[in-house]
Parts: sequence; C-alpha cells; structure tokens
Amino acid sequence: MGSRRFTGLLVGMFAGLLIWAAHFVLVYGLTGLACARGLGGATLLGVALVPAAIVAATLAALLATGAVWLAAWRGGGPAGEGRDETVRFVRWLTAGFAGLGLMSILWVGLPALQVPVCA
Amino acid sequence: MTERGDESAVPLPPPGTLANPGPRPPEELQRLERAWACPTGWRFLTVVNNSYVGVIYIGTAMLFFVLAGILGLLIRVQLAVPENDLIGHAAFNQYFTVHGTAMMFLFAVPMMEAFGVYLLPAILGARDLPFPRLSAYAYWTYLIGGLAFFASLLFRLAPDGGWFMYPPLTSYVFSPDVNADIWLLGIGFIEIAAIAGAIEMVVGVLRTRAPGMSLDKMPIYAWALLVLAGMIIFAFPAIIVATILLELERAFHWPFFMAEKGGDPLLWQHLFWFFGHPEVYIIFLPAAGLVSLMVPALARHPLVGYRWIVLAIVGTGFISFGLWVHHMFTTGIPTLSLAFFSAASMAVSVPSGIQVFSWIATFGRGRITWTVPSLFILGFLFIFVLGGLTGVMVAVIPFDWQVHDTYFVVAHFHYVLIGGMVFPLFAALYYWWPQLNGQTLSHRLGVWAFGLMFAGFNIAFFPMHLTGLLGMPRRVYTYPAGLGWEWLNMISTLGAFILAAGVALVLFDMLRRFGLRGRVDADPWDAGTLEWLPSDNYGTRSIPLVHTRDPLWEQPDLARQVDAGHHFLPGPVTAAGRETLITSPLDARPQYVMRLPGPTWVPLLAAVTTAAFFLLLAFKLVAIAIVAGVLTVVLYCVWMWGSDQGEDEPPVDIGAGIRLPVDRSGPQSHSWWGVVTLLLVDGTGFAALVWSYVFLWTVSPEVWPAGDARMAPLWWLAAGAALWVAAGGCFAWARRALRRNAHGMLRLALLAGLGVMGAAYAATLYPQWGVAGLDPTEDAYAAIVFALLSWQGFHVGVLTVMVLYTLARSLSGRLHAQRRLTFDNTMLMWGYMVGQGLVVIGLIHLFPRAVG
Repeated sequence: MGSRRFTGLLVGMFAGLLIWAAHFVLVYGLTGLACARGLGGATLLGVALVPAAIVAATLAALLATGAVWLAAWRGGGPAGEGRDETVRFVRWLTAGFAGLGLMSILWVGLPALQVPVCA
Repeated sequence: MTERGDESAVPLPPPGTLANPGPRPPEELQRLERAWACPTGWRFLTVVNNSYVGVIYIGTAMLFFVLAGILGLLIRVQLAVPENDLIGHAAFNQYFTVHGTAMMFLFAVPMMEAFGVYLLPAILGARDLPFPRLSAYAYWTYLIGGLAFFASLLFRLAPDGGWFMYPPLTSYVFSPDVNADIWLLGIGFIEIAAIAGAIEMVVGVLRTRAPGMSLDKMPIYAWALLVLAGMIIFAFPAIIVATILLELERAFHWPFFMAEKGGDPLLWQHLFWFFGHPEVYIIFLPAAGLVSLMVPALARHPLVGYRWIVLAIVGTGFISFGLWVHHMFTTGIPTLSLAFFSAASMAVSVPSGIQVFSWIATFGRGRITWTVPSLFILGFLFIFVLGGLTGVMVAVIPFDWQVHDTYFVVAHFHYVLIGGMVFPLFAALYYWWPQLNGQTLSHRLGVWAFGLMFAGFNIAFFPMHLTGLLGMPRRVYTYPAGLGWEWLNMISTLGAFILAAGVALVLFDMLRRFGLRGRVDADPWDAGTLEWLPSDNYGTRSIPLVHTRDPLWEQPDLARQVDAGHHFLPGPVTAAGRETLITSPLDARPQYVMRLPGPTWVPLLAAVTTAAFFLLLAFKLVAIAIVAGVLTVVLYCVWMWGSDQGEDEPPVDIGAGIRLPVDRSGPQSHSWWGVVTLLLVDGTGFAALVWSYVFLWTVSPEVWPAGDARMAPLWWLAAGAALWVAAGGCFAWARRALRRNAHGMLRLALLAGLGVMGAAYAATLYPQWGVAGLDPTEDAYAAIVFALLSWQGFHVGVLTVMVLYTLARSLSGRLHAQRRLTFDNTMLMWGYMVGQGLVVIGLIHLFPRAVG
C-alpha cells in the first residue's frame, strides 16, 4: 500500500471528525468576518442571517456525518485491503469518529440559537 | 480469515508459525552483535542507535526539568512573603518566562519524544527507528539549544515576555534587547527536533511494526505516538510561522502585529494558541499512552475498552484543535465565536473521560499491585481529574472572565500538566528503569518519593485556586500585605519544596543505580508487550510474528523463540549489517528489508552548525551565521551521500519461506513516506501564512489596495503562473528521462527546471516591489505579501540545493532508474513548491481585486 492509498483510507476513517473540523472553520470564519464588517445583525425577510447560516451549515454537517456513521455501521465505509478483523476495526472506528463528530457538531452549532452574534 | 489483494506485501504465515524453526548458525549472533556494537570512548558521541539516543535524550530532558524546577522554586521563594525584594522584577520576569518555556519546550514535549525514541521500536518489534541519524540530529540540536537557552540566564539576557511572548510587549519597541530574539530563534530551532521526532513516529508506527501487528493489535502507546506526531505536524507550523513573523517585525520592522500600521497583536495570539492548546495534548496523550501500557501489567488484566481508547485518543487529537480561542476569551472576540470554543472545550472532556474510565475499569477488573508505578498512576488519576474539572470551569466564558490571568489558571494548568504528564512520567521511569541494567529502583524510597510529591504538589498548587479567586494576578513579582494572600502563598511555597524533595529522592535513587547494559532480560512486571522481550543493542534477536495485543501473555514461549532466533530476520542479511523489516501500514505484512545506518559524526556536527546559525543570528552576527548555515547545508549533503544505495542487493530470505527485496523506491519506500510527512508540515505552515493574510485583511481592510493602486497588472499573474507550470513540466520531463535512463536529457531537464523556477520566482517577486511599489515596512498588507514571497523564496532556495545535489548524484553515477530515492524526494518537494507558487501568485494578484 502506497502513501496515497493509505491517505485515502485515513481520510475515510476520520471523515466524521474532518467534517466537524470543516464545520468549525466555516462557522467560526463566518462569524468573525460578519462581525468585523458590521454584518452580525444582518437580516433577510426578518431572518437573522448569521445564525440562520450557522444552523444551515450545522444541519448539513450533521447530515453528512450521519451518512458516514450509517455507512460504516452497515458495513460500508473505507474498506481498505486488510484482513477481515482489521477492516472491521477500521469500520468500527469510522462509525465511532462519526458519532463523536455528530456530538461535537451539534454542541458547537447549538450556541447559534442561544447567544447574540457579535455582542 | 480472508487475504485481500495487496501486491506490495506478502501474505502472513498462520499464527504460531516459527519462521526459522531450526538451530541457528553460531556465528550469526556474533555478526548481529558486531553490526550493532555501540561505539565506545569519545566515539560514543557518534551513536545513533535509539536505545542509547533515547536514554541520553530522557536524561537531558530530566536535566532541564530540574533546572526549570529550580527556577520554579526561586519564584516560590520570592512570592512566599509580601513585598519581598529577594529577586528584582527584571530577574523575576526572566525566571518565570524561562521556567514556563523550558518546562514546555525543553522538558515536556522532548521528554515525550525521548520516550518515543527509546520505546517505540521495542514495542513494535523493530530494531531501530526508520531514520536513526535524524533522531540523533534532533537530540543534539535540542541539547545545544537548550543549554544555550539556560545559559542566557547567566548573562541576564534570557527572554522575559512570558512563555507565550505576546507582542506588542515582545516587539522591537518595548523589548529592544536580544532577550526576545533568544526565545524566537533559540526555541524556534529546537522545534526542528520536535518535527524530526514526529516524522520518525509516523513512519515508525506505520511502517516498522512486527509482522502481524495490524492496526487493531497495535499497543495503545503506538496510537498515542501516532496522534502525537499528527498533532505536531499540524500544530507546530503555526508557532514556527508566528516566530518568523515576530522576528521579521523585530529585525526589519515589518508590522504584522502593530495596530497603527494595520497589524494586530491578536494575530500572534491566534497563531500561538493554535499551537499552544494542542501542545497540552501533545504532552498529555503520549503520557496517557504510557499509562495504557503500564496499567494492564500493573493490574494483571488486559486493557478494558481498547477500541474506545483509540477512539478517545484520536478524538482528543482532533478536537484539541478547536480549543485555541479559550485562551483568548477576554480579548473582545465576538460572543458567538467564543461560544463555539466554549462548546468544543467541553466536548473534549468526553474522550478524556473515556480514557480515565477505561483505566479505572482495568484496575477494577484486575488485581492492582501496590508498586511505585501504581501509586504514581493513581496520583495521576486524582490530580488530572481535578485539573480536568477546573478545565471545564474555565471553559465557561463568564467564569473565565473572572479568573483569567489569575492564580486560578496557574493552579488549573499545573494540575493538568503535572497531573497529566509528570506523574505518569515518574510512573514510567520506575516501570521501565529495569530495562537499563536489570535493577529496579528502591520500593521504599519510591513510596516516600511518591508521598512527598503527591502531598507537596497538592499543598503547593491547591491554595493557588484560592489566591486566584481572591484576585491575585499571574506574573507579579510581589504583592502588598493585607489582601489575604499571604498565608496561602506561604503554604504554596512550603508545598513546592516538599514536591522538590520528592523529586530529589527519585533522582538520588536513579543516580545510585544508573548503568547502561545494552542487554535487557528482566521482566519484573510480567508484562504482555514486546518491549519486555529479551533484547540487546540490536533490539530483539529475531523479529516476532505477532497475532495478539499482549503477545507475551497470549503467545506462550514467545520470548524464548525470539531470543533463539526462530522468528524473522535472525541475523544480518546484507553487507550493511543493520537492518529492520518494513511492513504494510494496515496489516503489517512484510514488504522489504530496510538497511539502517551505523554510527556517524554527521548528526552531531550538523547540529552544532545548525545551532550556531540560529544563535549567531539572535546576536545579529549575520556574516558568521551565514557561514554556519552554509556548513549545515554541506553537512546535510554529506549525510545523505551514502544513502540511496538503490535496489542493488538480491532479495533476501527472512524466514517462513519469505524472500523480500532490500530497500525500495517509489511510494512504498519509507523515504517517500518521510518526505510526504515533511510536506504536510510545510503545507500547514503555508496554510498558517495564508490564514494570517486573510486575518489581517479582516481586521484592517483599509490597508489593502483598492482598485488598481499598489497592484501589478494582471498579465504578471498570467506570466508568473505559466512559468510555475512550466517549471513543473521540466520535472515531468526529467522524470521521463530518468525512467529511460537518458542521463544527458535528465541533467538538461533538471538545469532547465532550475532556470525556469528562477524565472517564475522573479516574475512573482519583481512586480510587487518593482511595479506595485510595495515596501514591507509600510503597512501590514505589504508586510504579509512579502512574508508570502519570502516563504516561497526560501522554498526556491531549498529546491535549488536539492536539484544541484540530484545533479551531483547523476554526474557521479549514483542516480538511475533503479536508484532514484534522491530524485523522488526532490520531485515530491518540487511538485509541492510549484503548487505553492501558484497559490502565492494567485492570492497576491486576485484576492485584493476580489474584495477591493
């Protein structure tokens, strides 16, 4: 197995946590930029844009991570080319990381509903 | 058990197979011993074997622990009574800065890496780490840099801006002397050692495991080191970039952190803590990994929840990157942003909790033995959990606002760090000490030492929670009487000395019983992991076939079989003599035999010149520094010249009818994996720089160009980008020529590549000062543009050396289609550099136009 195929396997295995990281960067970057430009309170048709965008990003990230979890749980996910027990281990971890990702994404996304944006 | 196709590896023999069942020829062991003999006398300095480098590495880290600890005691003496004038404020500032910096950079991280260097090959069943000379080089840079750093105290030149060196205090206006430069350049280059260690760990864990040790059978400690390495790869570049930017500001007045010129001191805080928070876990996770190795042996029960611990270690590693702003809750960052970090700070306690419960469950299921390591582990659990609880408290934003920069925080992080790392470390020192010479440390003294350390620690640091809540700020050299802080401070000081007495007792016992024997044949704990196999300078006599997580418990007679040479590779198979097995990353199936280098002076010499380069720069002795830098590059080339011997040996028999090639090139080779890991470090550093660009634009859009003013015409972008692509094309051309062994064409392509790369860089650099007229001292925009250009320029310089070296290999007949590691490494770097060049030129030309 060369470095590229192994990297692919790692990316698949860590998918849940990588989605968490991407979501984190997105919501943090969006909030920081909106506040720096005075757009923290911007609304569209009465809906506060920043919290709405964060909720949307959170839902999308939850869906994607949920899909990773489901695929791994059903025996899909990064198959690799190892022996059966190694592959089962990798799948269990894939599902586990996705579970941890789900919890963390939800946890990080929830404040958008509770906390003022730029105060 | 199904074997899926992996053309690069051979199938594993079934469990229980003896690879070499017959008696071994008597001279085989002698040849193995001769090949791995430790150099004696003054030539000991040339040693590269991990068993020796690891031990002196651990010893050096202990030395810095003691020195930094003495500074801690001096701090406590100064604070014992109010209005004390024993140590002046200037010296006090230096003491706490050096105490914190040394504990983190010279003790905690290096100690964990040192343990990795020592233990990793043994627990994996390898003969050595994949890059032994790199470990030796890392060690020597660390030793010289660390000693120079402490020596600066003697001349009152030590840094005094706190371990996190916040600008503007540490920039040229408020810290004009060299103190801050000693930190930036002195500590900056020691990070080379950390990164070198990370590359060793990644390649070591993934490629040098004993056959059969698939990912699901790897000791937890190996997982911890893998995550440690991953975290170093993604965290350390941020501090390296921060260090470079602050040094550029100090030396050349490029205003990255000066608000009046569009810079922002918060940029430093972001970069520092993006490194600084994961740093805590970089320290804690390997220590927790050591605990996971020790607990099963001490509880006489396999680790409960193996998979959950792996999940927890990796999860902690990831989430720890989402915590950095919790060190910046009082800096005026938007409330919602703070809430993200508060949430992540609480989320990270979940995986940490999983590990703690798992250890408790293992102790509960097994039968705890009341040895000194057990005591230290129980002490660790108690102290670390308390530190974790106060961690959740300071993750609550309003609470943090109250206690930020008070002694409450000092108490919290000492509970986490001393609890999470120092107590496991002392458990580990007691546990693995018998590996040195077969002797165990004194149980009686150990119990006393533990009692003093545990009591002393809590007496010293628990009261600090209260002094903090009573409002005592950190880093004050004295305080007035009458604020209710006096008796708490006095108790803390007493506790610190009790803690120190405990440490001194351990050191006394260690000095009494020190001795290096090479041979390991004691297993006093009746442990299940491979490092307790009988071993010598060469590691184990033969490399075991593993099919369980605790092989010494579950594979009866393994120790005898391995020591009698009945497993893989029982003796030297090449002229080099020093070899180890490279196995596949997932299932650890044998792939090839790797030749390892023996003793050499080069790592030590290169470390001396590297240290000279950085330290002379700190003292502004630029001309001599450049000489040292050139010498370093020459030494690197000398170092590499003997490597890349090509696939010149016929396949060799390692046992069980398996014949393996000797050394490999291409994506399977350990060298390729090492360079890819290095490029990840490089790419992360570049990402930190690009992030700095965007951050500065976010805070100071007014200094960014509006319209076409201060911008070069777009055709410069087209020309530059085309030249970068052409430079990449030259290398593709060279690769084709090498594959056909067309050496003239190869050299022509390499030379053309050098020329085109130079032109591409010129077309990227020139328009910024020649056409747009940017002056990097003018504002933060110009400064960050020139920082990006300098970064790319550095890479062009490195590539130039690499291409010239590749040409030299070609001209001396050391480069052809079957001997091409040098070329492959240069090619990987080249591809990366071209991609980076395109991003740099695209960002500089397009970003201001897109947002302007």
